[in-house]
Amino acid sequence: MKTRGHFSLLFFSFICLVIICFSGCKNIPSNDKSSILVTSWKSDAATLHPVCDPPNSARLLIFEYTQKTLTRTDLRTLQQIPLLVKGLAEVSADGKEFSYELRNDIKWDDGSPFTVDDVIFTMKVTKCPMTNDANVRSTYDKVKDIIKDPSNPLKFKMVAKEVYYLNKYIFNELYLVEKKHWDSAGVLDNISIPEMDLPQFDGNKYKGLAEWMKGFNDGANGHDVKKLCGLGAYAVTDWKTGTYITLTRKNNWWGENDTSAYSRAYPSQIVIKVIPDDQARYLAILNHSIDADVWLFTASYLKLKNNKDFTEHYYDGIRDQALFNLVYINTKQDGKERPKLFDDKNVRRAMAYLIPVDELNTTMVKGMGTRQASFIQPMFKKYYNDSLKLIPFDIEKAKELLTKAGWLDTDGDNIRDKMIDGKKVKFSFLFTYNGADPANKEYALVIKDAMYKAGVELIPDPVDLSLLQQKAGKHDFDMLIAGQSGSGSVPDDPEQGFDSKNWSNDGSNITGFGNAESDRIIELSNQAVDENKRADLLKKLQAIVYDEQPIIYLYGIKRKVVISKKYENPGMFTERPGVMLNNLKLKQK
Amino acid sequence: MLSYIIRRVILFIPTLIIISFLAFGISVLAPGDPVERLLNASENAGIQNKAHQASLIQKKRHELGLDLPLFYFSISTLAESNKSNLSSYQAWKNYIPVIHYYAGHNQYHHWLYNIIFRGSFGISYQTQLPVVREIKARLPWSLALSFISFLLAFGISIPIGMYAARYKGRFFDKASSLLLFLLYALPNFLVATLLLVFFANPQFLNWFPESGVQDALNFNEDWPFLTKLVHWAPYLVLPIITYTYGAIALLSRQMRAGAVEIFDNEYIKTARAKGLPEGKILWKHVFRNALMPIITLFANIFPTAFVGSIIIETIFALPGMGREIYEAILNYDYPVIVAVFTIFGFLTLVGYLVADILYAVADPRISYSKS
Repeated sequence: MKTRGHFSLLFFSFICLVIICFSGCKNIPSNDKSSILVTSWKSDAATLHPVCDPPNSARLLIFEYTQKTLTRTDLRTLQQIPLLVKGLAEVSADGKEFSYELRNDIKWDDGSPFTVDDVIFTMKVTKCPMTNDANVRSTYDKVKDIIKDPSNPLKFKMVAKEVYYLNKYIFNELYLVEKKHWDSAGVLDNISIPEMDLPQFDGNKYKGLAEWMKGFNDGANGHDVKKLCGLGAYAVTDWKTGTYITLTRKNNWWGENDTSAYSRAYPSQIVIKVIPDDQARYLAILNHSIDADVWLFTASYLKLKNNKDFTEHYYDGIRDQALFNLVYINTKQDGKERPKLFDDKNVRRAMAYLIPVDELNTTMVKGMGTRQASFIQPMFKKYYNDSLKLIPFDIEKAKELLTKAGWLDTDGDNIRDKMIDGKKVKFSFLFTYNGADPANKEYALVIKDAMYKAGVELIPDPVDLSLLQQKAGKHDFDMLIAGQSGSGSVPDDPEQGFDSKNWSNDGSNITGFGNAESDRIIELSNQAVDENKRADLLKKLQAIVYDEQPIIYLYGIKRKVVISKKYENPGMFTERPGVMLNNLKLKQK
Repeated sequence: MLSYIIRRVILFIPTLIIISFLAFGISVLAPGDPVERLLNASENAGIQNKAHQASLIQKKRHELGLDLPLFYFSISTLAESNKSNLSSYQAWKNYIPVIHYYAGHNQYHHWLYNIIFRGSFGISYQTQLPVVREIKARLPWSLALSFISFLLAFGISIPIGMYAARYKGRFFDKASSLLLFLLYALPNFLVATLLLVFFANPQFLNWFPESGVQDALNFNEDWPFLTKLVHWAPYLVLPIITYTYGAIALLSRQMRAGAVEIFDNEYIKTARAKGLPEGKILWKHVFRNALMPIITLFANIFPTAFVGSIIIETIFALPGMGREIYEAILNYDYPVIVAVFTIFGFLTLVGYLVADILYAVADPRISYSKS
């Protein structure tokens, strides 16, 4: 019958297609180009512009190998080390001047020597208000000027506006750019760094600046691989948007004979595959198609750990990282739109007793989270106040505290209430979270159940991330859950999150915490150049925050690292990016 | 017919303007602020780390033109208009409307002007690249996957639907119905994950690569197209199956339903009585007349192919439009969002026009001429 003929023809075509696909399959090579290392990343870089926004983790990873900074954090010791300078900064007696001397063996890809002018140019272009780098510019607010040493062309000093504990780290993340490459006409030579800080700075007054800035800010500079140049051992040679980025080792690179771990460049190429999905990443590891990874979810990692082939072919490890979950409490609700539920610290403490942190740790991250009692993670041993006890899940204790604070269930509906300003207010509030992350819903439901047992009604309130940030900034929330990350080498500046002025100006102190004493401690700690003194001050601040409980700290999230056993030096680290891909040397067969 | 097509194409213009206005309005009025998102773009920036002042946001807003009024005019009350002059505040002013006209100094005008006169949809806030370049880089993958998938879906589902209708109530009809309903009920993220687990897994069948579209280590840009095609094919098999299975289920059912209705018509019985071969009856009389619902579905091919699939592209790490749109929405990348909405709207119009033409081709009784 003709019908069958049509059907058979179609079926035959389909089979042919499948055969073509399978014949293609045979062409898939395994990762046998031995000196090429393949890693995966969860997202693509939005841009690889050395200065302009927006930065993201993929760009930071790539810059590890394509760019250089004057100093950096040693992943192994978490101490600051010199890279392009002969030693760490010599600090002046007043703590405001930091003197450096450049190494004399550093060259750009075009053979030009790396000079102090390049450092000044980089700082200028980073601080210039016309540069499209609003995301990072504020990091360099405290830099007043960079002054060349007239007696030695390799020496210069960075002058800070004020004493600040992070001043000595200022060059840790400033990726150097070549003046000759970007500004051969010297447009920026006519403008000094202090001028760029003036509130009345007007770029249009400087001849050619606006035009030059237009060219510098051009998005193509962050995508055209031929324009991407840096002092690192690798160069970006191929970028397939959304798929992979290939870095290739440079020939005649200036650091070839350097013995530092950060100058080694064992793989001839580093291929960074973009794999957003955890299941696909898990299978890629099982297939041996990636050599190193730091993005595995806990469940996938544990599944791999039980796989014999995986343990035979991969090193693995879990490391602390500067990333933790926390619950913010709005301690200064307006009393109109949002009843004042949390102005009593007994109530806030009761909330802490009502969050089953250990259960969440077990459920969400298979018990691999590290609990913390304060805003500094326990991995910062010198700074963490270990005298603060972790608050256990204790419903009875919470009930006791709520009763003490006047919250009773007067109408028998199992929700506590209280007369506030002549009005009966129920203990019911919104628990706001980023709805895009399904894990947050789990958190909300587990906490909701626990709170209900103590007569507290939690209403889950999923919102978009941007809206969450907006609500947090405007103090338009009751309680919200979020994640926080920072540097793995030195605790973050507490001013943003805890100084009272950052609440009143709708800044980053979203809970409303703070008083004269805590503000003074923050100011002193930020000015404390001596680490021990700073540690003591931060411990005091932690004790105050702990007592006030504006934030309930849950636990730190571990980094899961896997590295193929084909390689030597399988270092796994706390600080980003968690591995040193350049240092992975293929084992001799 | 030609005059009908011309009239329809002319009608595209006001429709497109309305689409663009709606897309623009919805995207800029959505909760969230692209500037705040942009200034917190670092994935590692937590809430506490956002050391960004209001002035910084203001500057960025000005730079992106987001400080301009949204549209050519706005309406407020007289009281709001005189806000600065507090001494003259009077309650009655709350009831007097005031229209403000901004001429060309508004966001929508700038956006429209750039499209019409410069062929530009603006610059992506995220990548800082022209939106057109962004779309060009991503579109081929979405188009390729969608069109192969549609081809397969139509190629497989039409015979299945026709066959099931021809043998209505028999084993093939019942079995295919059951199977197709099952397929239709399966969510694509689940199917995608299952396909990966079963066919890209060394513990089961390791037939296909687990992610991406090409092998970074071996792919060569200079290869002839056919070699590239053979290289890409295994990467695309699982995504295409995921794209296709749902469409097969839907189209087969539609085809069957349409064909069953036609089989009951008198003219089919007449054809049989005349002794026409069964194949001819099936494909010339039944198929052609049962095509209407399929043509309606065909109209959606163009816009659907353009936007790709967020879930499938994320799971298989495909660099298509779905992921692009998802990232744009997540980052409030207005230029990309509005461009995609507008092109999507345009392609929907094209799809419906093509469908209307196909209706006339399939059924001679349909005519668009005035006579």
